[in-house]
Amino acid sequence: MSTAQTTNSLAPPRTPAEPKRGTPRRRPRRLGTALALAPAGLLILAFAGYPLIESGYLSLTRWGGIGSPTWTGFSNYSGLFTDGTVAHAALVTVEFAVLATVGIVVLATALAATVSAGVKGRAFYRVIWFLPGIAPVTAVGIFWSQAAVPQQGAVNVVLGWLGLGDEHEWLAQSSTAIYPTAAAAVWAGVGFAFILILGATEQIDVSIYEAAKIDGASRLRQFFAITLPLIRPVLAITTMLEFVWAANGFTMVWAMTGGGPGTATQTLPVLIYVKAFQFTDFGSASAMAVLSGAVLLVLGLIGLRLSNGRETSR
Amino acid sequence: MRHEPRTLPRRRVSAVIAGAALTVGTLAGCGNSGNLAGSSGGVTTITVQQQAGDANVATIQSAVKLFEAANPDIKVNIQIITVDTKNTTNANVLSSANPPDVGVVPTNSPSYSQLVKNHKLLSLQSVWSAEDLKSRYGSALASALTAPDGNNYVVSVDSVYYSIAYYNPKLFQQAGISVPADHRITSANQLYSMVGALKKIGKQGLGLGGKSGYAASWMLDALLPTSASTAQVNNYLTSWQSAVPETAKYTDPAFTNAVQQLSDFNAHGVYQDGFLAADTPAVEAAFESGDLGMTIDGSWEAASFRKVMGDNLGWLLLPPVNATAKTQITAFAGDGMGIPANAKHPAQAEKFLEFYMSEQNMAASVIKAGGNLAPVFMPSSAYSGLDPLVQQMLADGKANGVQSGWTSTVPGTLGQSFFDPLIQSMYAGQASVAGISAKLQAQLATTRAGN
Repeated sequence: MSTAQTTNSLAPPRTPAEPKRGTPRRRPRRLGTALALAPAGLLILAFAGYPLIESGYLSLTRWGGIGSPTWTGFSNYSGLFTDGTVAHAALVTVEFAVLATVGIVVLATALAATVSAGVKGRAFYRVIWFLPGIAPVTAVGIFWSQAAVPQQGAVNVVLGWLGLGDEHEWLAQSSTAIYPTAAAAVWAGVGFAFILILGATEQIDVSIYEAAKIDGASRLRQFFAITLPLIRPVLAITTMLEFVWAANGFTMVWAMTGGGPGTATQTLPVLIYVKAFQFTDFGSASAMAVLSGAVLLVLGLIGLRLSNGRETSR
Repeated sequence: MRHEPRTLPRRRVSAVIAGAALTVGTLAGCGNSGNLAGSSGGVTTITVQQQAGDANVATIQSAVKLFEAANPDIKVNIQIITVDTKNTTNANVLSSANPPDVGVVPTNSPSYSQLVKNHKLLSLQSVWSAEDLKSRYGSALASALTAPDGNNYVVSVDSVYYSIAYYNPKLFQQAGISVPADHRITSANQLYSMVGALKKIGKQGLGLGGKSGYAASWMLDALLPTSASTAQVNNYLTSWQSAVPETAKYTDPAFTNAVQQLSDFNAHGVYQDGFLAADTPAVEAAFESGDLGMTIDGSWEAASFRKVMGDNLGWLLLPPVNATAKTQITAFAGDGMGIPANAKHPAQAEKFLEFYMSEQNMAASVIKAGGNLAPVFMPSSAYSGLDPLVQQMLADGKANGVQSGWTSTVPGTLGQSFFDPLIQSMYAGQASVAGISAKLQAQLATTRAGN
């Protein structure tokens, strides 16, 4: 067998009549693809595109929820910056989102690392940690707000048993109300992040850990030197997703505090709801929604970019 | 590994098509599912909204039963909505192409003014005339229910007393508290000493659902008439309309002193621990279980308290701001019903409202079944079945007068929706009395500009 023959035999067989890009035979296939994608595209346009455009339009009008909107230009946007309420709500949103995101990602990573390390009953823990994630958020919020009631609430009762006092009024004080709210968001959100991070953790080749073990690396060293760097892309995307969800989250904050006491826990989604439905000021509410949506979109894109960059560099 | 595209068996294709058809059919049906009204076999079905709550549900069920018996050609489908829905998204439902035939319209919420302004409610002049509501309501309420164009688009369907301080007589006895005469706490100091005595026996003072978003401002409604003159109170109640000259400012002592009194209550620990995180149902439960010596609530709750506490129940009114003033009972008659402009059966809906406002229905449903008060004049005998405490309140109102609450009267964008977060902020140490007053004064200008 000659070399040329060998080379030919190893080469992939070329399909006899593979059409070139843009040739007439390729067009029907592209048309088929476009037709197949059309329903999804139409749905996206109807349920994402139209509301976006409508929100943008409403943000440039004065509208009380009924009747025809009155065009006001950018006055709703300029109004946002003269009123300290929006700046305050933005700060509260960032605080809440950071607390919830850090709590969720750190806890989920620790839990995933523990479960993937082969603890006894790992299948059981997978289910248990995921359960809070499927509970209705309103129910979770109401439960935790009741649990934080001084003297009678479950958390205060347990703290009382431990000798740590049972009269803590976290939700009733503006300086502390955000913390139990974020803690409840962590409790409810950790399950989903745990599943994502656990999946990434279990993708890591066992032989890497075995080699590290032979080299004398402790479990903790293995976690920081192997696990964390290798799951970084998933951690980045999880962090970004959790931040966006927390910043956009309405139900937990509303169920636990209603944005109070006063405006202490009034996040942007809560303020948007209040403006739109309690004050029938849909124009300002839409302007806030558009602005906060744009900020979160940019953050999301940065997160995706970072995640992609890191994955490529691997 | 590449998978060859699989071909679906013909039966499966048929099943998919049938499923899709069913889904489309179901979705198409959704467009009409919010309102089950219609006509069949000579019977017209109308949909009537009612606000959630034991008393409200009992009232509407009784009214519907009586109405259907008197009108066999009309069937009523009851649609219960929450308080939150009533004040927020329900306006969109009522202005839609497929609204209920009779909708709940709270006259102190922005929804009401939006609906009237955009002609989304039918005029109820014929109901008002048929039931002689102008004279039966009395001039003050009739005037409050009349729109700027002179028409009446709603009927007020019940009335309640609120900002009542219920107390637990056994706890008062244990704490050595003498029950104030005439149901009136005479001064803030008397209230502080009562709360102090309760705390000495390990109980909390005055229960307040600070998170609920309305209870905090109820108290202002009770205090304002004891801080301001009658003329000032009337101006506070009406100056949100640009046609009314603004003679009383929210920065005046008449208003700020009442807010200051609330701030002082908080500073003296009158309310229970953690009250800003407590909602009203939780506070009611704590009062019933004997953890609280007193609680702020309304006349509608007397019967519920009695079920748990029996005769161990009494009521008081908050201390006046000015020592010379006498606190009056505060009333709310803003729960309205109206007929949406797009209602499918307006004639039947009018018939229902005429029946609802009749003396017969007021006595048998609103008062007897639900335990609320009628917004129209009724003979004393109609109230004979009410809880004894509510009868005492009625007698007190007749003797000492009844005051319309400020948050019950002014639009929510100036009143409850705007004021509650401010009061919460003040209690949480985030806002001062002067700051709140200045914000209200600025908001008054905005409200007047739109009315």
